[in-house]
Amino acid sequence: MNVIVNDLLVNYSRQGKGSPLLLLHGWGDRLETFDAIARLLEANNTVVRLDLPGFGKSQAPNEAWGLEQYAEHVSNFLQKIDCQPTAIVGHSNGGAIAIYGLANGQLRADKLVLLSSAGIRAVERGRKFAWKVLAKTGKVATSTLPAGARASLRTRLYKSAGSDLLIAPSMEATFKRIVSQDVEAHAAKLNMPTLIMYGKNDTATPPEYGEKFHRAVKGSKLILLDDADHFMHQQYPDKISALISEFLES
Amino acid sequence: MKTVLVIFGGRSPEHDVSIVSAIAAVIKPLELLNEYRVEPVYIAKDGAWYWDDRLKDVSLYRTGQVDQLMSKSNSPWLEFDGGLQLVKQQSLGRVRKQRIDIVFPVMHGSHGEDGSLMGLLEMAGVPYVGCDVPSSALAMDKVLAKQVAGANGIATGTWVWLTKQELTSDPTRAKAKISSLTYPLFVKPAHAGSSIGITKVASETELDNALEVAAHYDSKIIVEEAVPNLIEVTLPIMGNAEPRPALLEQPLTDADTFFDFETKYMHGGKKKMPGKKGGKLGAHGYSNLPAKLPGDLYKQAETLGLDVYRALGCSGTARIDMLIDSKAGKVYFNEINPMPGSLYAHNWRAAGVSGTELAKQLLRLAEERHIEAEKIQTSFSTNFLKQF
Amino acid sequence: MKRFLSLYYPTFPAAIAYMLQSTEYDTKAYLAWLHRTHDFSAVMHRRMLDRTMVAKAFLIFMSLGILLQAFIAVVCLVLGYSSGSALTTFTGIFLLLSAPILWAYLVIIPMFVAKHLIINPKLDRQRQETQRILAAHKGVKIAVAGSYGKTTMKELLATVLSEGMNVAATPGNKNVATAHYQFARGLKGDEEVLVIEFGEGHPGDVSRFTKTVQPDIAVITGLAPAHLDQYGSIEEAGKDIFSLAEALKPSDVYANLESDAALKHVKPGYIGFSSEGLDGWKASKATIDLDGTRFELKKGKKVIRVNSQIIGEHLIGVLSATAVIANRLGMSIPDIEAGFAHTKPYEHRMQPYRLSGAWVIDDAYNGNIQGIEAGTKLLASLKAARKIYVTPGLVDQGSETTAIHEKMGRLIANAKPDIVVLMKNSVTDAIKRGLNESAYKGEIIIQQDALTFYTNLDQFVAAGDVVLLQNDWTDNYQ
Repeated sequence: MNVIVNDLLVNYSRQGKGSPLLLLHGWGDRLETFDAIARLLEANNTVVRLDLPGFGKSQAPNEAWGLEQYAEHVSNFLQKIDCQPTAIVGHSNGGAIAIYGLANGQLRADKLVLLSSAGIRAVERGRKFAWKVLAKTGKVATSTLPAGARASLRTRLYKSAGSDLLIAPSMEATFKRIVSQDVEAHAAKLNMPTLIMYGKNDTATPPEYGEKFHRAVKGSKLILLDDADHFMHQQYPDKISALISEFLES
Repeated sequence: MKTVLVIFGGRSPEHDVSIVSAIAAVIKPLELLNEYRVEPVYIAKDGAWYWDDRLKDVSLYRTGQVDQLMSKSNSPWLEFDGGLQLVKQQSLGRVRKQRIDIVFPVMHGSHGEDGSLMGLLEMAGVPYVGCDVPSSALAMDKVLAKQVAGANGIATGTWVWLTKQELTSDPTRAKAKISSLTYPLFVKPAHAGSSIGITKVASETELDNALEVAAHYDSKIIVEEAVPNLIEVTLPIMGNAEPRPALLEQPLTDADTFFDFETKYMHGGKKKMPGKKGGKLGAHGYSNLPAKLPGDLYKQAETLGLDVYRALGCSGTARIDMLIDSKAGKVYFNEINPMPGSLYAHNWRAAGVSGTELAKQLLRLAEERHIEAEKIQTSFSTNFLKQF
Repeated sequence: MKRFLSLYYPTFPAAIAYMLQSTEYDTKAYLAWLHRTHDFSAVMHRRMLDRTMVAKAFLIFMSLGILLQAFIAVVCLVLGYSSGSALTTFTGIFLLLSAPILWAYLVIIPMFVAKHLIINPKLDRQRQETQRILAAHKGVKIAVAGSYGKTTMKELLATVLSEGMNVAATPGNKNVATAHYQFARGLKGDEEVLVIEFGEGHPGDVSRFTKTVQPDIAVITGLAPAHLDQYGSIEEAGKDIFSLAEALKPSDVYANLESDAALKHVKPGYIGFSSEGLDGWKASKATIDLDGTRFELKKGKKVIRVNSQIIGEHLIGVLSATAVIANRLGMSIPDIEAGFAHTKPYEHRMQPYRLSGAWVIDDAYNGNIQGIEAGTKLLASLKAARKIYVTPGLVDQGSETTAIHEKMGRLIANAKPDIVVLMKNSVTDAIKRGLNESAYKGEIIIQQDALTFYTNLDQFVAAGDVVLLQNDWTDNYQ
């Protein structure tokens, strides 16, 4: 489905019935990253996902955006489709956007789930890690498909996520701006029940990030998963969605 | 040996589809025939033109090597010297020149399929494949196409149109036009090709967002009543004065789920259709080819398709999309594509026209139309200038 | 110029190794190809070098030889330059330029040595072993020989006889001494029938195989100009092939009477087969279409209804011979009929398949005029929106080449195809003359590159078309 938010075309999806749950994807990713867990979560929730500007099938912003603009955009989007989520799930950069938006009153939610959330900006990592994520997005997102389809889909993913959108000058600048924003301090302002999950094998956003966020968010719950990497929601959709549901019901 | 210039790519969102259409359905068969010299001109997404033999290879685009090629090449220019010549500045001051005998534009969507490129070719006085300026322009405007068809007594369903301007200056009045329609509705940009910007609207609450999306793509919007008991069919047609239909094709989509751009093109038309049997994999997905329709609906749809082709003044080729209310036994004209993706070669092949034959026939039709036009346009001298 | 330069491409040794391999390390055939080649960079077109041990050894031999000579040449050049000796310099230049071409000839030496010191003794040992195993084997041995059609015959016999008996047959078109040896070694000993294909490549091949195998029954499928570069004349080839018949009782020999060239070798007492039938069995009520070939064989009150999926009028004789041999070996008529139900077209031999709604009949392995005649006849009899006939012509036709291809043109014209596609080569003009003689009215397309055409066949066909592809040329013929 499409909708126009402040003159930007936004691609989104809404499925299921129940209290609304917003899923935010990471850098270089698209809403399809949550296909598996959305199918599981829709039994008890209205699951809302969007392609963030510059990704998937949503239009890129005309200028360099930071976390604040992304958070503002998500807020405007929710208003446009007339939806107030009871909980937000953010993966990677989507987690950073959620933390920023919730800490600064742009977004509202009763509960927060962080999946391999980014936002701790270790100096030396930055750019290198983001490229890794980018490459990985293509790989993991397609790993469930047969070989032939995978190859063609990956070309497509790389094309949209990798070349086309990054060619847009604003996205290059957006990228630089975002990787310079650390949200650890913002996380300390959060006061809602928060579930934090990290994969022990995650090299993009290592478990230490989780420990930092866990320390920052009062009363948060931290789960470190064995054999999981940055895309644990694609690796273990059953487990992750079960943990999310359990947390939402508690 | 005649030289055929194949133009593809372009600034429209269907840029990639155009590349595949041109290489697979035009360049390859023409080269296999060994009867024509084929010159490719690729129009990049930014509108720049490139002319290079390597542009005939689809792997160039798949691997992204086309970017390197573009960065190293000069763009060609066109010389109108009573005919058409393609000219390019090469290294060491050399100039490459090529006389063009026929042009095969394989463009989809705006800036190419809409008549603008055809206008340029008319000015050059060179024969070209496909619909001419007025029919292309009509075809690419869903509102005009329906108005012209309707004026010729062809059923077009129930619909209204409005402009972006009306919508912003007086939304209440603009929307009042729509209130006469029965939901569900389709809200579409009038010009955009394929399914871009189209939303199916179940109730009035969803209307605003849908109108906004359509207006994001176009200044002209068409709102149509959905046809109940829907069977969608499409018919490729070829010819000038005596158009010939290929086979009526029925895409096997679920009548309620709308086929968007993603399913249509990005999945290579190979999306799985659970629970649908007997479908045949065509170039654009699962379809019944020929369509299996009750009663005389096949004949009705074929006749309506040919009527539309004639009413809009098409020549060369075009594909007519129709909507059928299977319970009422009624066929409606929906829209028309003057340059169907991959020339709908899979359909023509099933109708007994091979890929090479199709490309060749279209070139022949282009030349035939050109000769006919020249017979009419004989210039005559006046003594008008001498009066001054 | 390109020819000259292609001598110095780094791929030149590989091209030579490929040529050696493609001609099966036959000196004569290799030299003929070498002398005919203009551009060595274009030699590997249809296939690539298969890097076997032998091929690698030759490749290394070539490369090292050329490098060695080049090294000596450079030494000469340096010496010539420093000493100012024009002679030494010119020697250096000569050595440098001549290196590739010289080694393309020198490579024959190890080939010659290997042939006489390694390969021939090994073949002799294999022959003795084959002879020992087969002599001790109790099964009925059926030998199949001929210039064409032997693989089809062998497969038919093996398929039909298998319905009632335990049968072993040489695999695929493997029909030389080494293949026979491997076949013999793989036998279990309890087989009731052995079907063995005899290949003919060099004079004396068939008579040697006859000695080794000692067959009980011989089937000779026909005689046509093939391997004439080795045999010299069809006469000589015929003598070799029919040496198989000479070694047996006439009543144990089945010979195809529809092969004109073979007729003079057929002695009274042989059982001749044709589309009429054989040995008192009369063939009748034949129908041939894309579903296969159907007819009846009658002798007195006995009737065998043959229904095979293989296609071609010229195969009625072969099918009949199969049925009669099966009957002779004691199979019941229902078993024989059931056996024929399992016969399917062999790959590239009048093998029909669907492409984009069209029928394509793949007869790429057909290499003789009899097959062309049968194919064009079938094409004439079929109903189609358009008929398309595709061929490069035939190879190995010796002095008859022009006449045979003119005849081929006439045969094609008689089938009235809408389009004839010819692969451009030395016989194209002869085929065109034949077409014109028979006032062919359709379209003729000349293709420069056969491979491109075959891989893009789907672009040329549409629903309702019938395409007949006859013969295909490999890289060593152009």
